[in-house]
Amino acid sequence: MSRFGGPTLAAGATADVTLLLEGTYPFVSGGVSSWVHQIIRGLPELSFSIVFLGGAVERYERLRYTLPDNVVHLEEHFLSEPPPPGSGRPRGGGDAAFFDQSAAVHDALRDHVDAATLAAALDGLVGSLLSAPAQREREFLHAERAWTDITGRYEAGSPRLSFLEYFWTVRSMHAPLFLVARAAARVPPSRVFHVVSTGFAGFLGVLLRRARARPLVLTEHGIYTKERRIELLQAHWIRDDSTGGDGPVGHLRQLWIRFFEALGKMTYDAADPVLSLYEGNRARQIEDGATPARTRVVPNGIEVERFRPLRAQRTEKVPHVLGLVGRVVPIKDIKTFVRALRVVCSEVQDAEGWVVGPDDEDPAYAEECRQLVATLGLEGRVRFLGFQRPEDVFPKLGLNVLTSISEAQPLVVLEGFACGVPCVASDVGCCRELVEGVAGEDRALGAAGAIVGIADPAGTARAAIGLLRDEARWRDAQRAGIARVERAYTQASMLERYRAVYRQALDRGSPEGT
Amino acid sequence: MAGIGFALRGQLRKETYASVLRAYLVAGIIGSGPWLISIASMLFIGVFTQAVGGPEHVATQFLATVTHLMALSLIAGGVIQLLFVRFVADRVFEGKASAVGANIVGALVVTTLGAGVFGTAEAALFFDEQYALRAVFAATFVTLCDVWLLSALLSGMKSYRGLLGVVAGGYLVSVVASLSLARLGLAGYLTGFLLGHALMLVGLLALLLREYPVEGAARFEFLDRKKVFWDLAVTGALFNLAIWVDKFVFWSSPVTSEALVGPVRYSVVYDVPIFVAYLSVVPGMSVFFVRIETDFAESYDAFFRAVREGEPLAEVRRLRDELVVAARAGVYDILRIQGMTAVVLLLVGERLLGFFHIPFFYAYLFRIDVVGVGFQVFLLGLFTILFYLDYRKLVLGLCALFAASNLVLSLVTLRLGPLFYGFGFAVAAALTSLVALSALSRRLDRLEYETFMR
Repeated sequence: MSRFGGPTLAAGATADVTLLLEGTYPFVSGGVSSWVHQIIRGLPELSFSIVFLGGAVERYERLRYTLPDNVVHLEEHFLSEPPPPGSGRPRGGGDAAFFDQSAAVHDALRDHVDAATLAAALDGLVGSLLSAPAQREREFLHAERAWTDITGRYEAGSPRLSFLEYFWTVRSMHAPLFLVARAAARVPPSRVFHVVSTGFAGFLGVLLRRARARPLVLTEHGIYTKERRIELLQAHWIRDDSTGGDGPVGHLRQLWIRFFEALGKMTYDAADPVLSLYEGNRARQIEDGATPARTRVVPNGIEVERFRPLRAQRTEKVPHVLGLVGRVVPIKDIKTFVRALRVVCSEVQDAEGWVVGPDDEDPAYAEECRQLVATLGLEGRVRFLGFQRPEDVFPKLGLNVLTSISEAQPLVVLEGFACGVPCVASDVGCCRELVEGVAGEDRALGAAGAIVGIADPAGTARAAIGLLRDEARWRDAQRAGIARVERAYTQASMLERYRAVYRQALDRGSPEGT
Repeated sequence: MAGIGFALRGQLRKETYASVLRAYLVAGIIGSGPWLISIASMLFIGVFTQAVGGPEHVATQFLATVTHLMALSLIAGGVIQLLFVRFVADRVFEGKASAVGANIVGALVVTTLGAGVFGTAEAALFFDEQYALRAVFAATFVTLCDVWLLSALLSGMKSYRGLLGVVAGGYLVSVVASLSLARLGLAGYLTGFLLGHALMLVGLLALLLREYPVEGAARFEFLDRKKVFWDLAVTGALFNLAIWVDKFVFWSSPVTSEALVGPVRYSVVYDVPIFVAYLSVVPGMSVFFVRIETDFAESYDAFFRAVREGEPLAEVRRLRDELVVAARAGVYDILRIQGMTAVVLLLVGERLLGFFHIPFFYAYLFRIDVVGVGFQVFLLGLFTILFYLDYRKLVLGLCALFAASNLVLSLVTLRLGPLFYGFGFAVAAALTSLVALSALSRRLDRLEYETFMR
């Protein structure tokens, strides 16, 4: 099944847990991927299947991780791949029941009906979708009923919009759903499904929950809907016009945003429990429609034992090296880091900035960052080191800097703490909780660095210089970081909680068979 | 998290309307129009020979041979005609017109070689006349095939004026040269005919190459499976076959025809009325032509521009309505004009036949043929619109229907006897027209659906 050499589950076998992953493990390295790897390795008593959903197949060249032995199955599906050759256009108007069900779901989502009504509508649609996904897809693409439905909604909602753009927007957003439906039909048996985002993977989870009658666990690191929303608002490829009188956000962008919101809502309704990394995200999930009673926080943990010995490798003097450990992509806002270094380097003679992380995901952005380094005259002071093992890097850093415009619970901050590196982080995700502590005892440990504003090079530089120049303050921050990670963010406690989540789900699932 | 990003962003743009808009094939079919001029010329040669008391038997042989050559060359040339016109139109649409000249040379090479083998084989195997005649026969066949190809291209380019000038000039030379060489017998007549067509070939080529200069050697990209629509080869051949198959049926029967030269046969009862009837298409063709080139072409452009440039659906639909109105007007104009022409001819037909010194007993068949030919013009109009809208497969099916029904019904009428002659062709043309009309009407009614969802 895997074209990248992953294992295939033997016929008749059943995996304990099937992870539904969109654009992450094992093909992309990053926070979510490390976490997935951690979970799989940390729970060797369970067998895992992995279903990977990707965009364009060309973007994924190879496995970025060696799959642990308890991964029994890997399969990949690429949303940009054309549908299989079918028997062409469907005869007549298509399956009327399918289109009626589809209309019911769309109306339910538009009218924000209660969960039970939506579930009932969705149930019918999922049933006929899964009964013949390829046929349904042809109907969606070619049936007259699809045409009347699409034009009907166009005329009801946005009759002055470019119809061409509307039409292709509707097609583009729905096409992957049919691919996901085809994938759902082939996913091998599993006792529990665990989806690590909403979106298309979430939709796959919704389908599998319904088709296999198995529990669906949802863990969100970032909030998918929110991230898509940010991307969409910045996207240049949406040919929106502001002439439609739709306010600041054009109608097509709204369509996309509502689409992902709908996928999120459906996933929240199908999943139990709905897990997040910290309180802020849990609140956001509830706001987006998750049932509060199902939501829980399970923070990320790291393998503190791995990093503990590294503290001994540190030099007596605090190295004046600022490290940004992360992928070179816009969401990490590498440019703010580079600009901050301009200030730091002019104040601290021997300061250096290291960008540690793969730069092949968005080559154009990486090139822009390099040019910025050249423009600011920072050659030799700011270096791009590519991917490095954290063990090799952290002992050499004086400060761990995170300038991201969006994060959930960045493990890299915890890893730095464990190695004895204080952190300067932007105020995103739960960075403030990590640096300053949540409350009470945790907070009493003190600040493990500093929190700065988003896209604030001057503030970032000021905070960094302050820590580097005041050695006593730096030592306090180091101590607080080590204490905090040892106390609340170990991998062992995180794994224990997931072991319990899976155990409950496995117990809840009805017996396999029939 | 590393989202999948929007791989879909490409998808949004992937399907353009280029496929729908890829230039028109329109006149590829109307391009076979020049042979109307040829019928007129041939009739003139016949009438003239009779009038001056020339060798009537040789003239008959000549006319039958030319008809035979025309039929076969149109069918054989049909294989490459539509396919190549579309190939050129697509390249021009893609902005790759620079390769067109070299491909025209390539197409001429292929046509000449193919027609050469076919023509030589026929001349060698089925004739036992002198070698000069056989050589001229084969050469004429090749020249005709080449001429059909180039004239189709020119009408595809809408260079009607140049095309008409060259064709008219060529036929003038043909008529004069044929009559001048008449005393050399059939070979003389044919040589004159060949001379005119050879000049026509040179003229057409000059017109084309002025538009598309040849860069480098001949190219054969039009044989690349991925760059052409092979179904057009079948459509082109089938369409011409459909038009001629009833004639072949009547030539094949000893009851209705006699052998003249080699494989060339002549059906006194069948041929004369139908060829005279073909002259009656002129009014319908001209009217439709004007309609297509003005109202319809404009509303077609407006509709697809609105689709392409993202007008609101209401505007797309409004323009769809206009396009439908234009198409209907064009189609009904043919019906009206061709109908009136038919009525007039039914009334004065006998006198007209008299003018051509055609015996009165042909009048009955002539009337049927006028009706059949009228439907054929109507059909041409429908095909043209269908080609505009890129329903190639549908046209292929309709051509097959026309060919099959014309063959079967002509065989049946041959059995039934002289009272039924001509009905095969007329009923086949009418039947195919009705099927085409309903198919077109259905597609026009939901053109936006067809445009987006097909």
